[in-house]
Amino acid sequence: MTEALDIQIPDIEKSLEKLCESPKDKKQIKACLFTLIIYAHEPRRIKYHQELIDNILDKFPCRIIFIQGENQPGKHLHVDVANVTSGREGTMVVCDQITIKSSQSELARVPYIVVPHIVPDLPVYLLWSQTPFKEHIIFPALQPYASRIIFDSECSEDLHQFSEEMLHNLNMLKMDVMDINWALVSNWRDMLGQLFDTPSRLSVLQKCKSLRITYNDAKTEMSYHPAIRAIYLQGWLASRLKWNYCNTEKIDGMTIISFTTKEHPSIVALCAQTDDKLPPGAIIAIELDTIDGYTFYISRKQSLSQVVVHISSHEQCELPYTLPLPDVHQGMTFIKEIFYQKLSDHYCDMLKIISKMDSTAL
Amino acid sequence: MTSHPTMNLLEETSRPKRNVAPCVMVIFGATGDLTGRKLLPALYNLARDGQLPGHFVCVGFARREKSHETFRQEMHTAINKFSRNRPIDEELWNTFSNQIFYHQSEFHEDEGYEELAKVLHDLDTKFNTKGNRVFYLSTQPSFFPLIVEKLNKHKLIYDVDQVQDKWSRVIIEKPFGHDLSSALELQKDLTKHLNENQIYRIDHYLGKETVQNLLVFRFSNSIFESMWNNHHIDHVQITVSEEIGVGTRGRFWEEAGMLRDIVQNHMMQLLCLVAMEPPTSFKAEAIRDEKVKVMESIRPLPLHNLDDVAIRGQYGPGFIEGQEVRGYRQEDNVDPHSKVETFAALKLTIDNWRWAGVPFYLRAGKRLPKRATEISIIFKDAPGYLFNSNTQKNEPNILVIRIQPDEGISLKMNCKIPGLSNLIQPVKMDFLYGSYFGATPPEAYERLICDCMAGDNTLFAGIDEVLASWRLLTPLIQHWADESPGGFPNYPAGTWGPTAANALVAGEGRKWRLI
Repeated sequence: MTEALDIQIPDIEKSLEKLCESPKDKKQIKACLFTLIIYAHEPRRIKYHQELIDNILDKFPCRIIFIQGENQPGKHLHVDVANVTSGREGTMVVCDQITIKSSQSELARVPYIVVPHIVPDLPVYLLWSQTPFKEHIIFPALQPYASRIIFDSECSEDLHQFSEEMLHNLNMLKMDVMDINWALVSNWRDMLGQLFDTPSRLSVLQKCKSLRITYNDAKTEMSYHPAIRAIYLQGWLASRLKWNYCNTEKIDGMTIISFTTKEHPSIVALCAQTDDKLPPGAIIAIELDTIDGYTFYISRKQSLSQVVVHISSHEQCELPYTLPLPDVHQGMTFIKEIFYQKLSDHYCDMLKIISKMDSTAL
Repeated sequence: MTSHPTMNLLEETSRPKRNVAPCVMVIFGATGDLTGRKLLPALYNLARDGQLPGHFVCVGFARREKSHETFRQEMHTAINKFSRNRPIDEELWNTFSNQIFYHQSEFHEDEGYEELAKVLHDLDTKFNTKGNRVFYLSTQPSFFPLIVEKLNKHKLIYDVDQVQDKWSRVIIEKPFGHDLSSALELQKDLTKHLNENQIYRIDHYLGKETVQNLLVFRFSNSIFESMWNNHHIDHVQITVSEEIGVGTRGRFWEEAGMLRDIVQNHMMQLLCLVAMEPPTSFKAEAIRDEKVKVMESIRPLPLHNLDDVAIRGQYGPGFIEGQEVRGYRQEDNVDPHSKVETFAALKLTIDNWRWAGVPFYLRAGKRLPKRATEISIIFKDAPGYLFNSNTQKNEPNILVIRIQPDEGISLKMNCKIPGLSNLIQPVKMDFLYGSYFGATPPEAYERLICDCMAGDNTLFAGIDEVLASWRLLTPLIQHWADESPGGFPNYPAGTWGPTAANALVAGEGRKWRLI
């Protein structure tokens, strides 16, 4: 990224053009596939979102408009512009980034700054890093321009409340919506779909009496709800298997969620483990026991793109084998998930389960 | 959410999902160039991107004695050299290489196939590949009927009417025959043992992203489709140009020539994609039907006047990028008096309502000044001479679809030079695929192998297309075989082909676009 230029609001386009003119020594192409507007209210998430931006720009050039809501008292509104470049075989692809930092009192002015700088005729993605529908200044003003809204549930203070809000509003939003954390468990959902791909395997899964999901609890200054993806994954499985939620409790640092099925109770344990090689919140392993004695243990290989599957029963122990697990945290897979995939009934069914859970224990 | 009883309740129907089933892929001719250069790198990249089925095994079948480990080591070296993702991810390779095996046998020996059947059965048990098979025939074409016959004899090919719980498919490399009668003969031999929908005739051009984008470009942009006809288009040029010579493929080239190697398959496919009507769906049959209609609408080449519509050439010594290079007849394994063409240019006419009166010029050559594959749509001139005092025409608009390299699309249009005069300057609007979507799209073979595993033959050539293409070109092949070319070599390496090729278009007031 070029050094950000502090500028006056009327000079945004002029300054971006000026930035793109230099340096002359490299072959540069300005490219844009869409406008990505990001609203981050939490200072802790700003660095996270900047990493996300870099990840996106590496694959898909676009114009970034990054709105940072600040909590300091007083009135201030600050705009800077920068060029973000990514190199491709001798050619530098240049993208615009406009960063708007605003105090709460000035937020009402922000949409008026943003709208003239949306690139016409191309999709507009709005990445919303706050509890949805709780913000009444920027969201209503920008939502009509958005082709898709991408929610970041990790920024929500209360997952239970997030689920309820989303469920309530999904039908009313007549547009594409995506949830980043739902996208980030797509690889595990696909992999489980592939593992339990026959009626006989599915009938084994239906007899699951305990499910243990281990997730990466590595703490960083950027993330603070590392259990979300594990909660999503168990919520999705519970909804697919039509389990009924009973209660949630914390035991020995683990989150224990109890369900009942038609025939038997089923217990889910969410276990935290630290792994510095994986992104915070990433699922590390799944262990699943059935009432008729099958055990499935699925764990990541050190290479992020595979899992090893161990299946055993009272009678036999199968040779372990590997299954692909695409890395959804970066690259084209991540971009395809958040910008092009659609939410389905599976997502709503999962939210219904989570919205029943006791938020204090999550 | 209600689930269909047979539906996997963990699968989201809205997610575009390719049903790439568990399978074993057997590569015949596994010690050949293609396996190391293209096939194994493609499989490795599919594994790396999580696109291979979870239960997958690759078996190399070839005549040379070799251990599994030696074969794996050779493939490791090849992937490190030719994969689009380099260096190789050693951890991934450690797993992936355990799914690669080697099986030694002559292609004609029954014992080899008997043994193969046992090996595959064991691999099914060990890797849960469920009996599904892809047989990739990367051998000399003369072995295709023999291998398929042996596979069938040893029950490695399943009768589609009898066996529904597993499948077997055969991928056949080009060329499919060397003229119409040999293609018919080969098809007859194959269909004794295979159902047509088990045959996947690979033309790797169809797996290229930019070739696939041709359909998207044409049929999702109404602005172009509405002008895609003889009211607006003057002519179409398709060029496949290579700066390399025949290299080590002299022996092959002596039997093939440019018409068979490039024009009959790649170029005819490109022509079909440019000229076809919108298909009713994106299913294989619908697209193939439209392509066949184009082939069948091409006016047969005039037997009495073939030299007016087809030009052949052969390169002599010359210079490529400033370096002196040999002529074709001096290449290894080439007859010093060879009459084989290394350049072909054709003028084809499509007799249908859309294209009547619009010539399609095709040219393909080796040792031309640069490597490029492009389709140029040259639009008709604007009527009148408004801006040039009735003295000169404006430059025509040209839409260029670049297949390789620098994949993209450009549109040339005229623009006023600022100032008091009405001077006109042609300018280009350029879309570069690599700038927007990165420079390393999946290789054609990745897409095509994956499609075969998923049972999708949309991007494979159908027999009707292949036969129609041979039907069109066989008289010319015969004519060129019978008539001495005279004057060969007729273009120096590093030039744009024989002067007669310029005359082919110049006679009608046109010229080849400089690439």
